[in-house]
Amino acid sequence: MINRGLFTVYKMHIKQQLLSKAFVVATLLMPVVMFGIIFIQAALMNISGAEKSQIYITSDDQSLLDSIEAQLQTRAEVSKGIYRIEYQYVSNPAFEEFLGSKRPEILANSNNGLFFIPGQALDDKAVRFYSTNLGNQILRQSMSEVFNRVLNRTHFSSLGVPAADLEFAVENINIKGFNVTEHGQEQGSVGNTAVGFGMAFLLMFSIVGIVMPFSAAIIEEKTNRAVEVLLTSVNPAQLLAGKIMARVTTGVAQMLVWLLPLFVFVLFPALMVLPPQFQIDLGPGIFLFFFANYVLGLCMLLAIWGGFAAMFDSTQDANQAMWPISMLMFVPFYAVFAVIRNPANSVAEILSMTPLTSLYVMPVRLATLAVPLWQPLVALAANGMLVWLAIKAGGKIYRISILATGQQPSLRQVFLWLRQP
Amino acid sequence: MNALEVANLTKRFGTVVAVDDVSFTIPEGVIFGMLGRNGAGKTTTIRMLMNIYQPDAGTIKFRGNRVGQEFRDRVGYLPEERGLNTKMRVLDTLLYLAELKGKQGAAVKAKAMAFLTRFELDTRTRSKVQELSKGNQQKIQFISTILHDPDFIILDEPFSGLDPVNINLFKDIIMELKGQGKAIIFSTHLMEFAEKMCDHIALFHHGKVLLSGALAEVKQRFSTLNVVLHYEGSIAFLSGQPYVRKVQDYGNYCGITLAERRDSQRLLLDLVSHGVEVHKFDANDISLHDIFLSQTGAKGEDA
Repeated sequence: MINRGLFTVYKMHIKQQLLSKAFVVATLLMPVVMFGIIFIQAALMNISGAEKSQIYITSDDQSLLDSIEAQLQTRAEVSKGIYRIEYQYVSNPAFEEFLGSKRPEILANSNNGLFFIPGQALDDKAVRFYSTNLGNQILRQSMSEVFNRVLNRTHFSSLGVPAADLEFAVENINIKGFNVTEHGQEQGSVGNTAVGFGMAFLLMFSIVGIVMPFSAAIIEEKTNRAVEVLLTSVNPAQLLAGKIMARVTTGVAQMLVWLLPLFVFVLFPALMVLPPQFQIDLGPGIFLFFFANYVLGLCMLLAIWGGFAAMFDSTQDANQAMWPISMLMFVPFYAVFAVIRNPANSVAEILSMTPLTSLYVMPVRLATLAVPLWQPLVALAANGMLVWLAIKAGGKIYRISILATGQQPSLRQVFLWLRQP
Repeated sequence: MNALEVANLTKRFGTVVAVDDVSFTIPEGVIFGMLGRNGAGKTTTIRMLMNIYQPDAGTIKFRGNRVGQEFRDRVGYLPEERGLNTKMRVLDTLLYLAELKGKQGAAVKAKAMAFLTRFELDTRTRSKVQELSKGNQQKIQFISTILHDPDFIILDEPFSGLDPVNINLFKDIIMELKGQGKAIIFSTHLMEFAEKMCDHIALFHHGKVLLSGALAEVKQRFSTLNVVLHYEGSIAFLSGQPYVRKVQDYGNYCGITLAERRDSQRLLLDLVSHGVEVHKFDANDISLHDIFLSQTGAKGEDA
């Protein structure tokens, strides 16, 4: 199988891809884009939270109103002047009239709002909010924390609970995690989890970047008839294999560049001192599995893409028809979210050994848990089997359809091709 | 000795028989014309020779052995529909295709540069193929066909889209290759070129070979009752003459099939007496074009 022709095809495609400007740009740009998206999202949330608002807080209980005012003075949004708050005692019967007087200001800006905290709230915690923008979750959440704290304090102090006990009661619990190993226990860290998820994201970016353009390249070679010349020197299987090997090499090289900072950090931890809760402690096993599974995943998807793309004469037709197959790339990634809440649950365990989903889920589990060795081995074996099937099927479809033009084959025809020896 | 022997070759696509029990032989050092209308089965046959398609039946032997990788390495193929990776650079394309045939290194590069110079493309080595004109792309395709010094060359419609100057250049190189003893398949539906360049022919029609052999022998076989006439004037009177069986008139040139051999003298006399200015009167000659038409029954289509 591996002969001169295949190696020549591989060499040419490596040269075309690895030494191309597109590779350099994509490799450098992808992490920037990825972190840029996270940064932009954080910045957008920050910007949306910083919208200046005029807030009216009213109550028919002056002492409750005073407590709320005192609590709000400690909030950054108030001290920075983002929320300008007017506190007003309003009796229950006079509230409608007061609301009417503030209506123009509430209508003037959708960020403005009026809260009414009746004294009754000390019993039922029912507070009313008036605004043109009831979906302003930032304001609602911020005020809800303050009102809840004040109502709790007022309620329990009226029952004679000491202030220190009250502070203890309203304070959130802090659970410190310790990883238990055969050798003892050590303080847990979110560092490994973050790395696991980061690797899953990088994997998705890389797979999409390497696999998606493959169909266009196949179709281009088919439509410009270059394939007919190439097939006089190499057979279709060698041609497809050479292309797949070159793309896999490109993908591995790209991933190595992306993970280089992590390797350096893991090998030389003294280079960066992290707080204990962010410590990263990963062995070489996770990286070995990650790359082995990544190579298998790329081979599998590229073989499927190559085979299917060869059936089409235009990229547009191929994109439309291959949309359902594209789900093979995207849906497994969403399996990652199954492990967020509990990487050890049975769903996560099954997904981490299922072909395709294991690409993303197993690295996260390996980073966060002591996974039994047989599980990554099963994942690799399952993916390996699927690769074998994908290459066999994709290669067969490619061989038959790469020189066929005109009407696209029906599903029945494709099925018949697959049954051919 | 025969360079290539094709026996009982058959290829079906579903219910369509594209090539039907085709047999022919190509001697060493000849230009072999593969003639026929579009869809006659020429390209499918060539694709089977190149192992692009697997034949349903039949054998192909190169110098006595069944064709395999060795044959593919020693053959140069110029497909009818030009096929180059348009995003690759000119020199890279040539070196890549030569390497696929097992030739690489400084010698191949020097040879590629020599061909590029001959085709006046030596300044375009770094250009991408897509930046070249169609004619120049065809030159690159032609160079890639012969760069690896093949023993056997297949040229499928090599002159299509070329201007007369480049046709001459291609023709000169093809004749040089023939002079070097290489066997060349020249697939075309342009009979004029085939007649001038080919030593042997096979005439394809509806997937079958209607006739094959040395061109001179084929013409000999069909020319005994035929007259080729180059003329000025009107030859309309011939259609009513009992000694004339058929006239293929092209204006200033025509092929005339007579009822009997001795009628050629009578024909010449009648032409002169009807005021026709005779520039050339060639008895017992027939053009390949006329043979093609007589065999395929086509009326001026493609041929």
